[in-house]
Amino acid sequence: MKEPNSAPLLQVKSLCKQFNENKVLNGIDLNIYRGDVIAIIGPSGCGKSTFLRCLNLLETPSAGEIIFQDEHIFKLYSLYTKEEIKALKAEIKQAKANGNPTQELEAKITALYTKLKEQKAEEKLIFKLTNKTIDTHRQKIGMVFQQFNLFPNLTIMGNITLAPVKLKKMSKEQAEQKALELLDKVGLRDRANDYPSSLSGGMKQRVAIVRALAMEPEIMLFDEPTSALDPEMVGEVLKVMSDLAKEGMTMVVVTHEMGFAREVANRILFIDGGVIKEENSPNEFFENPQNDRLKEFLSKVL
Amino acid sequence: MDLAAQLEYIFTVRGLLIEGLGISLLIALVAVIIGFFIGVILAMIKIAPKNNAVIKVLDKIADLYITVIRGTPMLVQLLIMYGVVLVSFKSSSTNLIVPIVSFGINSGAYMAEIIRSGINSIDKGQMEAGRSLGLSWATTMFKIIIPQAIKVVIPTIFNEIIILVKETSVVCYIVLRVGGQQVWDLLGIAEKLGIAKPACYMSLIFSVAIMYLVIVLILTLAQKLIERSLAKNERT
Repeated sequence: MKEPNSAPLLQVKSLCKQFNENKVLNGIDLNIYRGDVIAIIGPSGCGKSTFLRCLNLLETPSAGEIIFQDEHIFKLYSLYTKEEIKALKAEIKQAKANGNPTQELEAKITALYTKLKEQKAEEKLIFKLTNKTIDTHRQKIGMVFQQFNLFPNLTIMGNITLAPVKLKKMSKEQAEQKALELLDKVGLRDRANDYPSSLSGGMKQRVAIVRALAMEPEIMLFDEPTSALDPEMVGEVLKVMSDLAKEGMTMVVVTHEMGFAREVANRILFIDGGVIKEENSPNEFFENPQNDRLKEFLSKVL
Repeated sequence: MDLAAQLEYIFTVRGLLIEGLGISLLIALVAVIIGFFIGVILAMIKIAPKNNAVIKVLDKIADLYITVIRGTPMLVQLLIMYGVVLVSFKSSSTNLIVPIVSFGINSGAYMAEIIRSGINSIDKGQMEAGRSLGLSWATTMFKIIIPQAIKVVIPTIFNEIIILVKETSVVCYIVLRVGGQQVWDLLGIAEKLGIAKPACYMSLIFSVAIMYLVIVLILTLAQKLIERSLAKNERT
């Protein structure tokens, strides 16, 4: 936390995500400040990728708040949890089967349905609001994917300039100028007119980082950026990321690269079972882990 | 009549046959274009996120359209079009309206399914990458997804075009059943000439077969050329 006194750039409050019955995130709170480099680690299936994807609403959270630059990009709280609704419905059914609907029960039924209606209306409203505003927010939240997701139908230059030009952030000339500067930084200036299919994995990921940077984001999200790479290409991508961190970019990185987490991040989170089990500075995190689950995890991966 | 004389006759009527072929191709070409646009619209409706009432209703309509058109024979659809739906157009001087519209509507249902499956075959990560940059659903769809999907569906689209070109030949028999202005497509012309000169009937029919075959070969060649030019950004 480099500026603990200023307002956070991105604020997450009791974030929950449920896929049908499967609870993936169970209330995550996190303040991300400008200049933070946060590494998120955890066993597979712990919800770390889902958490990252909730931050720019690629996944719609089930409940919680996300505040970006003092503006809500998401806010929804359930009046009832699914379990509570189930229990209430069962209670009503039971009473009906007994055959003597009391006045108390009638009131309960009405209350339940009113609340459910309210809940649905609120969800609808949130959906409308977020749909309207999310594209603007996403322009400021860059994202890099495990599988690169470059557009194979466009050249490297086309990949990088599409969004800035389409969204009228800059003219075509400006965007191309900027793209060349950024490509120069990652050592790929001479590949600008090639198609992605002619690049190696490491090059693709470097282009993907440039593509996100071309929008001049406030924060960059990395979803396991090196997990799909051949081992000898991991270094070149991590190098670009640590250079970015040195320039002061705010970054949230889901990763299995412990060395990178330790050297580049200023905060490390350990997520397990959909909650943050431990948050610490890199040294403390690796030298003096508190959580038992984390100790076990570290003993396996280090 | 010996073969040489028959061939000589075919040669003398070649202008009429080629004119008929022109009509057949005109029907097929315009129908393909109509079908493609209907197909794109239906596919968009089927694929768009179902987040409001309008799109849900449109989705149901698209479902019904595809089910009915794919579930009934082309010949029956053409009879219904001539007999009921487009009855006011069937005797007009522009006698091609009914077959063009009928084949277009028919083709639209098949095109919709072809395009939908093509779009679905594109990696979900492409849409996510577009959206994560702040691009809208529609921009990502038209700039990123559809250009890639087209490459995937070219062989199936050409298959549909080839089927359509050949299928237009049923149109000349419809008029006998339900009336209206005769459509002088390739087979229609051959039938007319065959009635006037029965000795040459089979030769005429073979000529028609060869002409269709040549057209399909040309279409196949076009498909190959398009596929090759679209493959330019693939690893060599």
